[in-house]
Amino acid sequence: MKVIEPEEGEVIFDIELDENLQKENLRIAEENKKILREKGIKAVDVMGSVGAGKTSLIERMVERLDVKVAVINGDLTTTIDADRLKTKGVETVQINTGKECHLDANLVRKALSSLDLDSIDLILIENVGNLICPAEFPLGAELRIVVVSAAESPWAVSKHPYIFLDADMVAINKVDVAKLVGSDPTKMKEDVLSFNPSAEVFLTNCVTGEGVDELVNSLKSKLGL
Amino acid sequence: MHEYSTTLAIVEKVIDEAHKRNAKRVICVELKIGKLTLLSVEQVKFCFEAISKGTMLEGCELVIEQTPPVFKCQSCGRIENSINIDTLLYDHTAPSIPSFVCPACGNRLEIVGGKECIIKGMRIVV
Repeated sequence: MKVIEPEEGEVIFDIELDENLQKENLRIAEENKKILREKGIKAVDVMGSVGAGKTSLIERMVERLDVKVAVINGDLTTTIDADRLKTKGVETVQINTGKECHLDANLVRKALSSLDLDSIDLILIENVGNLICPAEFPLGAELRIVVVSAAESPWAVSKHPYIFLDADMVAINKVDVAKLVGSDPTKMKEDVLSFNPSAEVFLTNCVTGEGVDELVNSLKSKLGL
Repeated sequence: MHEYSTTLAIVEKVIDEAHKRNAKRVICVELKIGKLTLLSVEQVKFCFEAISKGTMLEGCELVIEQTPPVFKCQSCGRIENSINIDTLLYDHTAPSIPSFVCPACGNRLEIVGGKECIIKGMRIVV
């Protein structure tokens, strides 16, 4: 690469900037946390790949929670997820990111402003389907759940360590199809624990509800619901 | 993963700061990118060269310091910075995956460093 040097009569200055590029997202995430705390609302970031069963898990959670829940759904386009959740009788907001592969704190802030925060106890935030990028963008939630399905391949966890490092709870979903695709949910659970030994891992089937009670009970006790 | 938008933000910020100081050109930009970010340094370099073309940064040197991950044990407080994540992130033929577990007590390690993306400074010509 050609480096341009100063010419005669020009002066060079070294400037210290120390400018953190994630600063803005982190700042808004902290503000979101503060807004929610002031209203006494708990928030959970539900992350996971496309088709892992995030919406299904949220449906099963909503059915089992006896507090006032609102759901924020993130997708590139459509209101399919928010429409599904609406039929469960909860307030929903669909965020369409257009092209972005993850939610960020500012998008969640906008969604919060369209919810009646005085009548909500818990907000479940369904991130855009993606097992990579959402890990990089904190939203201001106090708990992070990662959903990964046995249908995604036996190595779905071991190939994506990053997102599990900060996860509080993990659902290995669709355990019923594991045999058909050659996955072993127990091995996937071990993979999660090898990255993050304090994550609570649940083997779930969101069609039959298997494993969901345990997950919801743990969520209730973690959040004091 | 987000190299283009991140690099665009870097270039815009640098140009903004350079204008504030009446710079004619920027000849060096120094970045600090943590190894736990999802940014590939090679991609950032490529994007930087492409984006800075035709701007006051054209031909500018880009120095990137890659900072290692730093973990803190949530139980015993040990600071752990010797976990090598290079095999995990860059060598998919590696036989084993590193474990993010405290070598002293076996508990959860919290990430305290290695996720940063910082413009440390720049060298301008006035």
